[in-house]
Amino acid sequence: MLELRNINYETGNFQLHNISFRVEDGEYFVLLGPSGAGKSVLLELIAGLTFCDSGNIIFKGKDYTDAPAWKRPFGLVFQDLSLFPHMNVYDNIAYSLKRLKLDKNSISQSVEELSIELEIQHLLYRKPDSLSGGEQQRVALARTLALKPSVLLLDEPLSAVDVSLQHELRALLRKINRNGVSIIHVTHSFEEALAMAQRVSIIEKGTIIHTGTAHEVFERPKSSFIANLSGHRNFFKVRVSREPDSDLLRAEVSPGNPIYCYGNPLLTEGFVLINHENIVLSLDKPDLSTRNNFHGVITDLHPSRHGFEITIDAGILLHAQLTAESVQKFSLEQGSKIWACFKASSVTLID
Amino acid sequence: MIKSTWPELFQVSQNRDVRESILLTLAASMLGTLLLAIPGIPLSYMLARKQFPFRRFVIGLVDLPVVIPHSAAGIALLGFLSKDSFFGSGMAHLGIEFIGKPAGIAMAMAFVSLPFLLNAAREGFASVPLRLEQAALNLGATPSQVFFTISLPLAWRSILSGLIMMFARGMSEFGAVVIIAYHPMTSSVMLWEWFGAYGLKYARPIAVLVILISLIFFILLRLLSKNDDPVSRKKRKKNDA
Repeated sequence: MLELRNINYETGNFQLHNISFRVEDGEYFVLLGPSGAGKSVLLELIAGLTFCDSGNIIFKGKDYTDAPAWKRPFGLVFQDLSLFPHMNVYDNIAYSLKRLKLDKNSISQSVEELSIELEIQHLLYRKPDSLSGGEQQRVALARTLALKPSVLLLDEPLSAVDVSLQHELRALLRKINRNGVSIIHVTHSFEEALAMAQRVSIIEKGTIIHTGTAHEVFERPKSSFIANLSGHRNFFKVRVSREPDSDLLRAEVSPGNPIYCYGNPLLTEGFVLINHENIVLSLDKPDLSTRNNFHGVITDLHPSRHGFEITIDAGILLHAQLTAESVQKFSLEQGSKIWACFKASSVTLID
Repeated sequence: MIKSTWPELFQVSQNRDVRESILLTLAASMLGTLLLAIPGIPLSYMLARKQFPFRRFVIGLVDLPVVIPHSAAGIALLGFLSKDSFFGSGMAHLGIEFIGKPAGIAMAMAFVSLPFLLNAAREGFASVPLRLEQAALNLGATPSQVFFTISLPLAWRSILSGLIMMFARGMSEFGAVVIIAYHPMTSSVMLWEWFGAYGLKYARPIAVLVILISLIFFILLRLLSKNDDPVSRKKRKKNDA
């Protein structure tokens, strides 16, 4: 098991703050975050290419915090791959094996096995600059796997290849993981995280804000970044107070714009999530039992996969979906006034 | 220059002193270049990659031999190499003397031309992407293995160019050499002496001969490094295709 304990690191204006997580043996762990969140730096810290200001990196009970890069059992595949341009594919893959001073036959056998596993045996005597992006990615993986790392660190491994190759590479990474290699995969792509992760950590502005299974993290997001990624457009940070003589909670996005919901009465701050499917739209003031009724102006209306997506400015920006027929029937356009209503019970309050 | 006739050039080339001075010049410059390359190349790598106190000052210091009068460089070197100095006396105990000796000439030539190698090699190392060195470290290579397997081969073209320039500049050195060793005579010292003693008519053929030989050597070295020239590689690839 690899464990990061309270890692702190500062350089210039960038900071990693109190990073802690564990990766179990054989686990596929994804670190998801926007650009500049600190994902790549975290991988470099684990690989020993840079050193943290405080905290510990523990693997199988041994402290690797201050160990030099060449003594760590972690193989890093860089985002730009960094294949050695003056060596052919064979020599790139054999690089780490030559450092181990293995005999020529063993090296040759290992390179051959890896090249078969990664389907690059026909490329062995070509230079990296003559390979396609997908081929280079496979070579970089083979080169790192040659060292038989205990943990494979992947920095945005699918960002440089097209969609069809992404599927191939995902299958390959799963295969490598099934062979027992723990993987920490860094990405900014929600789909990638969802497709690959057994567990996922969300990193934003140098801090880990949520760790769990993909289901746990994306169903109950703890940041607008994740809410947006997972398609939750109505996601607000709120101050929470109790309604007198009621189970209802008053969640204020901004003063005077409360959203009524149910949840933990002890909360004072949190996030609310409103699924757009639960928002009912009406031109006239509706006579409904809904506790949340907002009157606003349509500020944006554009076609989407399921009809039209509209944005309503009602003090807070609410996003809802309508069918094309409804848009036509109500003659909705930008500037139209509309009511947006939803039940308190349809609001999810997240701590 | 073109007033020198072929018979004159032939006659000069038959002169034993002239032949020996040219050979001494070539050998001393080659020896000095190779000797100072051993500490010079790692120093260039340090200047390109490592941060340390007074780094900028050291980079400035590297260019000093180029900007100071070479006779002054020679006098400074004389203080360092003479038997009165710590280094000079230590080397004398090992049987190596510098003043009035080919070893001193090699040192004088190398000292004033070292900046050509250091600057070219430093730029070469700086142009190697740091990521490649980090990738090698991650693949289990120690820093010295990274230097020899990644940094040095990738910066080699610049280093070779620096070595050729250092060798060529060393051959032409006069100011520092004449202070360390008037005898045995290098070609530049011999030219100066012949010009002073016998005049332009006698000095001209030896000047032409030295220029021709320097030119031949320079072109030969450049041809040897042709394989590393990206333009000629491109041309070869095109021809292969």
